[in-house]
Amino acid sequence: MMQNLALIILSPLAGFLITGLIGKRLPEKVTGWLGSLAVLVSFVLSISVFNQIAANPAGMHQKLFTFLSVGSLQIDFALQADRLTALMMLVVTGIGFLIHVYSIAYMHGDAGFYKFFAYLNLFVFNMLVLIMGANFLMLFFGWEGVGLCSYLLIGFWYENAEYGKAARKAFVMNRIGDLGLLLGLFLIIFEFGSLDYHTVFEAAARGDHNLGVITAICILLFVGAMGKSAQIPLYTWLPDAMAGPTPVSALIHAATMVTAGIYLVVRCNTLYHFAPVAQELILYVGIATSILAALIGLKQNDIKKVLAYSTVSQLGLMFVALGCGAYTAAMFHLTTHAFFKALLFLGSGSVIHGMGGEQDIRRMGALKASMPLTFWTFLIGTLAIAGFPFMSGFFSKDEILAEVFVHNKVVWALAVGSALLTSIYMLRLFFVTFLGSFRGTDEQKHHLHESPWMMTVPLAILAILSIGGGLLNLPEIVGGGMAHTLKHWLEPVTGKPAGEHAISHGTELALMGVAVAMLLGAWLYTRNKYQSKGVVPEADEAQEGTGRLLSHKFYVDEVYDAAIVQPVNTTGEILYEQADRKGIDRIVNALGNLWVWLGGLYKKVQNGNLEYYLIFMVAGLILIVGFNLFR
Amino acid sequence: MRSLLLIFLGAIAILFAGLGKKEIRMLPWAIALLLGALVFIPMDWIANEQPDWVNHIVPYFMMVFDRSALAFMAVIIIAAMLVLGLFGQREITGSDQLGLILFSLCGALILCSFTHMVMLFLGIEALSIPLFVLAGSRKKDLRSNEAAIKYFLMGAFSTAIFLMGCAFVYGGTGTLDLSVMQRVIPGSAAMGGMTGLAKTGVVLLMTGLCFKIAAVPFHFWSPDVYEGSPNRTTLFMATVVKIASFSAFFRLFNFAFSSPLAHGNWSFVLAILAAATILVGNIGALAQRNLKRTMAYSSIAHAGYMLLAILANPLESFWALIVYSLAYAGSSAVVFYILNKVQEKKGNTEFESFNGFGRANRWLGILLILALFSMAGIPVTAGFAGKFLLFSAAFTGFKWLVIVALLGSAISIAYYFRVFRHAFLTEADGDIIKPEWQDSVFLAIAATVLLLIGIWPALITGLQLFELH
Repeated sequence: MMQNLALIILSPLAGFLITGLIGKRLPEKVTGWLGSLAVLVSFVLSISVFNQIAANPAGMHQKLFTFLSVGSLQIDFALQADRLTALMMLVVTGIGFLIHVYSIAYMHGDAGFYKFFAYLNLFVFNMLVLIMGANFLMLFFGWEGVGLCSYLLIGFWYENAEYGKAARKAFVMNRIGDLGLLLGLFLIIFEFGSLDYHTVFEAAARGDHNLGVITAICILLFVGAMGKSAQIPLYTWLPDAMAGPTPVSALIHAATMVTAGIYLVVRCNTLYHFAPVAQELILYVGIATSILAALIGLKQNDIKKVLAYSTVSQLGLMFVALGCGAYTAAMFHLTTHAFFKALLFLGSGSVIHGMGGEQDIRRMGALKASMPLTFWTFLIGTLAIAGFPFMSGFFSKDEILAEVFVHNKVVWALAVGSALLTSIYMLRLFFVTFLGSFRGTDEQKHHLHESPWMMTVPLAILAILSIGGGLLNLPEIVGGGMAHTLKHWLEPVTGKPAGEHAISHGTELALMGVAVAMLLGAWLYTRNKYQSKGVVPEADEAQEGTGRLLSHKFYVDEVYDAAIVQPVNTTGEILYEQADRKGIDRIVNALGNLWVWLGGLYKKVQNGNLEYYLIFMVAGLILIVGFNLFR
Repeated sequence: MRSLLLIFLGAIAILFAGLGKKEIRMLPWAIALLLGALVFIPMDWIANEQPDWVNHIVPYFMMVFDRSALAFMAVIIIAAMLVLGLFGQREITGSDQLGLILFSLCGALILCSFTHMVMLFLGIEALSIPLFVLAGSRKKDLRSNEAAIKYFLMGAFSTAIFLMGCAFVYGGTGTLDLSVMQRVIPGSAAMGGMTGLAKTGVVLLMTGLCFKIAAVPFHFWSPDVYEGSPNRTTLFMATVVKIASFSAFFRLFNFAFSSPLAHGNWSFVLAILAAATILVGNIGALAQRNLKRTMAYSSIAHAGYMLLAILANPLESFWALIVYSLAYAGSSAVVFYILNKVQEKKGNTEFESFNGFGRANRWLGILLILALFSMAGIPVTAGFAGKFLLFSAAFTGFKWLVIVALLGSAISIAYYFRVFRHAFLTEADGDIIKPEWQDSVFLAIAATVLLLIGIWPALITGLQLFELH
């Protein structure tokens, strides 16, 4: 069974080669199913690996060949599967397969159909290399590879110059993160003399290494994670990345690639254990990102942009869990988030498909009647992310909140705020899109249709997972003997965190109560505003006269609106306008322009005039000789 | 030795065969000559009883063909074969040009194997003098003439500095023999410091070599000369000449001047030059609108990265330098081949001329991506393996420099992607280019080098430079 590991990554690679090289000449259906089949094979093999690892917690390891050997440093091209990897493998190949099938219908008729499947297969291959690599260099290969595929797929419709720009932005921002990652790798070689996970973590666990260096390594790795997982300040590429086709947003920019940063930190938990400073940094960056993105999400009118900011926010929440050392909670939320966010993105894709490419929710509404399956599955996704009791998001989010509650009360309060905002913007999105009255053109109304089965079946499967995903890791008060399955599963990788205190059942119930109450409040508020009153979000800040509303609602709306909603909305808007577009975006762009400007400056020195050259050279020579003599 | 002799005698034969004839097809002979020379290398490698230049061995004509020399020679001969194979068909018709290239190559091989400063100087001159002619070989092209004059004047200048360095080092150490020099220069200040003469001499020699590899601030000639010279000469300068100069650099500084005291003395200055070279090369490239000139600057930047190998522990950085050189030679050959073809069609090498290239030429397009990725250091190409090895070797001693180098390679993505964007993401129909079958063979060799070493660098780094005792 050992060759299984290699087969799992080779299958999508073969899929890439076949669809890429001869896909153009094959009928669409054949290309699409070939691509999907390649991923299905990986999925089936992953299940078999998963079962073996269930019996054997130590995991599997397979060396393919020696990649590099210089002096004492030897790096193998080796794969491994332990419990963390096995979980990720199932998420990547399982959701990957569903999205492949979905894409057959979604991309139907596109000129680059075969290219799309080739890129998608290549992405799955690279993602698998990323999670299955047995050393940091393999991880880096996958890391670069998925970045490249992300670039290709965001810019898939490159005829649109804006899209090409978004793709470049994603690539450049990721490269900034990669610099951190690469430096981290060099520091690991420097400190441990190896890049092999096993060697490095074993050496680190002994605890006799320089803590300063380990902290530096952890921070550098986190810089890499910031780029890939879209955290402040490297997050602005993700909303722009929505330029890519919707299945890409679901697979790469929600379920898999953007969680690579989470995976990296969990993988290196042994290192982070010795770097509390880095953990604190992760905690604060995570919570800041989570709040900022959630606030911005409140005022977006593009269906995919809302989901994009939501993803950034949820990833922030996962980093909050990592900052607390709650690795299980982070992985749990990663998994459930993969279910419901993929579902939501695919649902939005179904809507966009049905509406003939329309993405503005202000021109949608009342889609319930014509797209029932999309409606119900989207509702499930919304409830799952908003934390409706006993659905997957409810358990995973509550676990994070409970962990944070123990760790840091202030951050807990902020995280609860972020969760509340999540409920509000998601329900707003849901109500405006599916209920109320139809606001599109007549032609759109005429063409409105439910999507074909290849799109709705994946939706249904993901909906079931979104409902039941919580079973993975029930809290004790609900699960009893079945509780904490995922925690026990991951224990060989994460160990038993020493600093973890269990909170009393009473507190846990109270925390759940808070969450449910918030969801209820958000439901009532958004339902009242967007369904009952049929308020359509304004493009610009043009809040309507609130006088009439308040007489109906006993001032509650008014007070709520003025005290919380207005400031929050305005902050969201300001943050979007000022911080996101003008601040962070500009700083990042200016950094790029600086180099171009320097280049222009340099051109003046290189003027083609021999005398100048000689003078510069002699001056350089005198400086060097003088410096060297009198140093 | 056999390789060098074979090429030298072959070059003379080819030169005389063309006597009195205007045009003669000697290219297959030249390539066969190089192949023969290449075959000797593994034979010498296995037969090499003398393990390395670190141990004292009796030089032969002031040269030693140890394994480190053989490795560099192999890379250089492969690079030269790519130049001849990809450009020889129609461009190098006269046997005089072919002879000059081969003579220059002899100089390059001497630079791999010298054990004495006299031989080093001879090698540098044998390498350079034919180049002055080759740079100006487009007799009617004004820019080519300009390039030749510039190269000659500045080359003369650098030769003078280099000779002065030799004199100073002789004054400081009393010898021109590398192994004696290594023994004479004390290991630490406690054993008696270096004299000012020796210190200055070392730096002057460094300056002379920095001119050859086009390191800042002795790089000014290279963008002008690279742009003005015919493409084949530019490629020859960018690959064969640069790699040979690095081999000389490596041998001289990590052997003769390798004592801790001497290393401490020159390494800091060289590290600053390397950082400046990386930054100027990359920033300069960013400002260009012309691919050939961009390549000139990018080759400055590559020299900057390769300087890291001189600074690092030689045992770790030797194979890094070899892998990097191979990657650099292979990717440069591909880019220059494509650039040359586009120039033939469009008359210039502005970026706009490459619009739609990738879509009109599928295989050449894939090859171009491969070459650009390798230059930018993206896995799994040979360029990544080279950069990774170089940077990790230098990281121990020069962390700040590795950060600069990483920053530089991040900047470089921008201009490599500019080429990619023009070739693939523009709405235009590029010209269809049909490579001749000979060209395809050599392109395939270059691609194999880039991919194979990218996926499996251990193939090279696993070789034993020294017999372990």
